[in-house]
Amino acid sequence: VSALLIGLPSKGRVHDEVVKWLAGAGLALMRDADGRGYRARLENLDGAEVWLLSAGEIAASLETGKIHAGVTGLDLMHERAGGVGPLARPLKGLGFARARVVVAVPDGWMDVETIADVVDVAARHFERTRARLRVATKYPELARRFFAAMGLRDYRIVASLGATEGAPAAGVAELIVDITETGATLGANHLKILEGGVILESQAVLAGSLAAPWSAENVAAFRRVMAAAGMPEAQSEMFAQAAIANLSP
Amino acid sequence: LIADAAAEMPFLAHYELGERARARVERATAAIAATFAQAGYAHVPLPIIQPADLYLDMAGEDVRDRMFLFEDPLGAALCLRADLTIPLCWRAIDEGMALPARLASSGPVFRFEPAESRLPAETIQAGAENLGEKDTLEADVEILRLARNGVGAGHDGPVRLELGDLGLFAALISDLKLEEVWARRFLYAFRHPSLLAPLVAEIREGAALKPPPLLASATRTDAERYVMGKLKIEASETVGGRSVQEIAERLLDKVKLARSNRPSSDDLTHIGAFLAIDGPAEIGLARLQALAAHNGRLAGALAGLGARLARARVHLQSGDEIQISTTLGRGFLYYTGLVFDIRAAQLALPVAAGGRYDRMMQELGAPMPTPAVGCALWPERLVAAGGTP
Repeated sequence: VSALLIGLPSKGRVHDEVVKWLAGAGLALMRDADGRGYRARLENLDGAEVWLLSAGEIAASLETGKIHAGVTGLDLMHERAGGVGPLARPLKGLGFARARVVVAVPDGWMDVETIADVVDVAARHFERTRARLRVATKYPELARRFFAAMGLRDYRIVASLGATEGAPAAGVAELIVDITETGATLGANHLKILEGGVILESQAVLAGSLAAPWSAENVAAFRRVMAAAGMPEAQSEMFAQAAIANLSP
Repeated sequence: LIADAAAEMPFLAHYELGERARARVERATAAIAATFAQAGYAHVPLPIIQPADLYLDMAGEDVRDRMFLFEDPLGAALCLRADLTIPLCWRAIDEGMALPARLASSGPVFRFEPAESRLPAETIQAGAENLGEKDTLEADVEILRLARNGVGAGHDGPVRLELGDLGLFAALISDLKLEEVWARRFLYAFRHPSLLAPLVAEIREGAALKPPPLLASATRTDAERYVMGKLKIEASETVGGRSVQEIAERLLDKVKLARSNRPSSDDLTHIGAFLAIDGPAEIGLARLQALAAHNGRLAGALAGLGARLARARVHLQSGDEIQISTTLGRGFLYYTGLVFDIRAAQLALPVAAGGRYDRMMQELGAPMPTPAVGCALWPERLVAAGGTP
């Protein structure tokens, strides 16, 4: 029988929080003795195997069904092309790694408070310069979908791999879409969050994949994990039923 | 007569067709090319792989959802061409072609289609572009005639020509003499259709606007001083790529907006009546004329559309219909004037489309204003519509 495959973040603060959560729920993470360090098991849950992956890989693997379940950031699930797909289901917020994905503009843009202001500024900027406003972000998908819904069209995305908040000061973008916990880093970089500019309230989530081949044993094991995450019985039951309906032959 | 609810018949890509149908597509493509050549349009072969920026700069991030984008091994951003117009225009500029230039090309273009649309991502297009002709009436009529003749080369049934003119709305707004801040917002929302309903709702509900702390009587200089003082910067400095003057100008606009007279409910009714016009040409034109103020800008713009209509009619074939729509093509931001679709029975999608795009050449780097108008035809759709020789 193949094990329930669970993807967990391999390092960083989210990893530490996950380890704490699992230990508290009696499902302590037990690294394999083989020393490779990318496989682990859960105490008291024989039918499960843990793969330690990057949070982005976990979001992708939930969609393709390479893993049955995992813990990743809600932001990363939404950043997948086309948004959260029908097969990758965020099931329960775990209450840590809380942060917001926001649109922020330079403090000095005294005339800009809302997205509607940005739409107007973008149109005038294009009218005058024949160039589009540049938006630095590591969330191009989230940004595009949000701006499309808001009617903002005259802009270009500038891919950012880190320190996005420095992009306007460095002159490589006019505004940014970035993730922030308190907004302090944005403030320190003379940026302000727009009214109505919160794209997503993110946190670490337990997620399940309906693209994965579930067995009855996998479903039973996952019920334990859902309970550990504090999922209400009715919701766990709903996901379990959906997984059972998908049972692999 | 062509039924309005044309059957939602999907069409197949040329490579999915049987041998005989495929031969029809090839014949239709060749016949269209011959029509273009006869009218003096030089065939320009174009690469299928194009620089991604050519499209993204021209059409904005929106088009990403519909495009095939990738990188070469050295990291250059490339795409499969999504149309023929942009690469044709770029070629004319890059080679410094003498204007006016009449250019044509044909071959596959690529647009991502979600599975439920049942449309192929690869379709054959045949396009013709008339670049730099200053007599815009002649050029518009020439392209309309070319599009109709090209359709006729691949399909022998009657068609419906749908016409619009994106200059009409600006003329209507100008005639209404709205305060400038409101006129601007209407012009923008017209081209970004999702913004129009919220704008009308905002006017009807009279939501309170909070003006910046500037006096109603503040001048530009006052506003600039205010910005410089608040931000502790000099007049020549910029903030996040925007100048003191730009920020001051928008602050003043907000003051004006908060204190302005909103468009009246008569204005809104007038605009609504304009936007609802979509039907047979005679009726549409008459309704537009009824909305036009005596000697106003709309009356002038309608004279231009009427002239195109009268001239185009001569080149139509028996059984063809003409319709006028005030909203046709408004979401395609590169169009600036005349826009049209040609539809054949049975097919939900147009078999030809085109319009005037007077700003694109300069946006692509042409050294001077270059009026331009063009059309694109879809041979596979013509074959699906039937009647291909």
